Amino acid sequence: MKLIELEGIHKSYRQGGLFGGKKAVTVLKGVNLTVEAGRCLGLLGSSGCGKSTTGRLALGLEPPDQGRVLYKGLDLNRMNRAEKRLWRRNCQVVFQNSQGAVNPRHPAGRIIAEPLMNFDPNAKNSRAAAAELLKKVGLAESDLDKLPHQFSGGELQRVCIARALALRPEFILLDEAVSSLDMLSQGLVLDLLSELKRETGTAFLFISHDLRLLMKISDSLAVMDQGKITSFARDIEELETSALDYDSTLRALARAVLPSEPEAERSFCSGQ
Amino acid sequence: MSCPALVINNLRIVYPAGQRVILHDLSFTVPGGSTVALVGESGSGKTMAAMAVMGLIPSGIFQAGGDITINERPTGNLTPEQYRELRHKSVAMVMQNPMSAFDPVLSIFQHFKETFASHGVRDRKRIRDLAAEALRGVGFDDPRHILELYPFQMSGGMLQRVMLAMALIFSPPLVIADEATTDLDVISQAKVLKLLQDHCRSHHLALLLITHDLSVAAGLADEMVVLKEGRLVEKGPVSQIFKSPASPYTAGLLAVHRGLYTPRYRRIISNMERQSV
Repeated sequence: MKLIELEGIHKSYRQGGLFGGKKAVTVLKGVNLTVEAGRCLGLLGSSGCGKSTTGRLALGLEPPDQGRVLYKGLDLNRMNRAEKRLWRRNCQVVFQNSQGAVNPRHPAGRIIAEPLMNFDPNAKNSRAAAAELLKKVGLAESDLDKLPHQFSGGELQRVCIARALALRPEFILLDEAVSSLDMLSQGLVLDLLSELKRETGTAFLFISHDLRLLMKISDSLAVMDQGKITSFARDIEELETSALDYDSTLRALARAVLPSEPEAERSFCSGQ
Repeated sequence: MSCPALVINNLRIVYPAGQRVILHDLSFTVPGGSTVALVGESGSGKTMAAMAVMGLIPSGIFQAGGDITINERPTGNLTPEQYRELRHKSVAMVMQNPMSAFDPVLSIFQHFKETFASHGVRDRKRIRDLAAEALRGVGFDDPRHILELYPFQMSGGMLQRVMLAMALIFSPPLVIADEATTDLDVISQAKVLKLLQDHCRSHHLALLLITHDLSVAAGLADEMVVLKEGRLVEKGPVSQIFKSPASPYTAGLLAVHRGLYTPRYRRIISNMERQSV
């Protein structure tokens, strides 16, 4: 089932601030993308290619200049209040910077329960719900009362994931969500996301510049360069076909990855 | 045979107010002209080790034991003035988060002017020429234009390259890169690391790479030092440690690292390599 669709999306930003009439920079040029229910769509591209803008538009945080964004076939622009509310409940996000995404004065329990309180102010037992979510992301019930600065980067990101899960959404946008984490934390969070996808059937749009991460977690892969989708594999296995003509952006991003083994031991990993 | 660029001997760093020992008697050497990776997760103390080498330990934190020798010069009894001079001559540092290392009200040219002034070069035209050359060396096609820009007008990757240009301009015997590419995308990271490696090789500079990313160690380092919670876990040639890590902790790190290179990923890479032959 098509959960989120981007159709013919164009997006420009104007440089120069409030008073500048400077030239417009086109960030997205005719982007078509579909996130299917229960699947992880990986979006690969280098900095500045437009992938974060794509994510924000998919979430309806900004409107496109041209084209449509659909949620379960409904145009975001044409939704009535009830439809909008349901859509907002069902689409959540985890950004790269976990510190910037939380109120430094709120303990973890409150951070996680906030979406629950937003959608159901009479919710009882939100503390119990938050405790369950903490355990789900590999943290402890005793972490409920900890403040953000008392968590490591990886742990705080897991708190943000717990928050994103609170409303049991159909879709979560993850924009470079593990890029600021050290290696062990990155591994833990990726494993957690894979497990969640299996258990809850949540769809993900996972944005990253790191092909290795996307290979681990994606079902489908789109590659982006300069505001355009340059290639798309609906099933990531398609990329393993040796006869495939890999697009140049994918090649460039693959070539740039550092090796897994030192020089003397290198066998068939990408050599520099 | 060149002298070691850096010798750290039983370095102990403490945080008395928190009753914490940040580094427990750390010892390792960076041979002249070699590349050493100091590997550890966040909280391992690796950045504090770099700060100690630079003589820039934050207030409230103290070196409670051990000694640091940079380019055969002991740092133990140096005054702050003398340490500053040593920093200018013998060691440069490139850090993560380039935006925070720049003064937002100064142009890139003015930043270079500061660096040059501390080395006694004050002639504006000469500074402009040398700075432009250094910027060209880190891959900028229009260095004169870059000199006029302010930090906010540049991307993270561009600023990282400028920081690199400034650090390398006087080719100090020891260059420290502390998570210098962690905030960059893979392409920028590859560019910056290659520039660093090429410059250090051609000028026979030692490079201390501080990182949590084992692929950086695999790709660039001759030797590696593994830290966990302020303690040395093991050290030695990179190929040896990757082949047979002595510690279960290192083995664990290697397992997570290798887990990123899934069989599917490896198949795609080898397809690409075969195609380009």
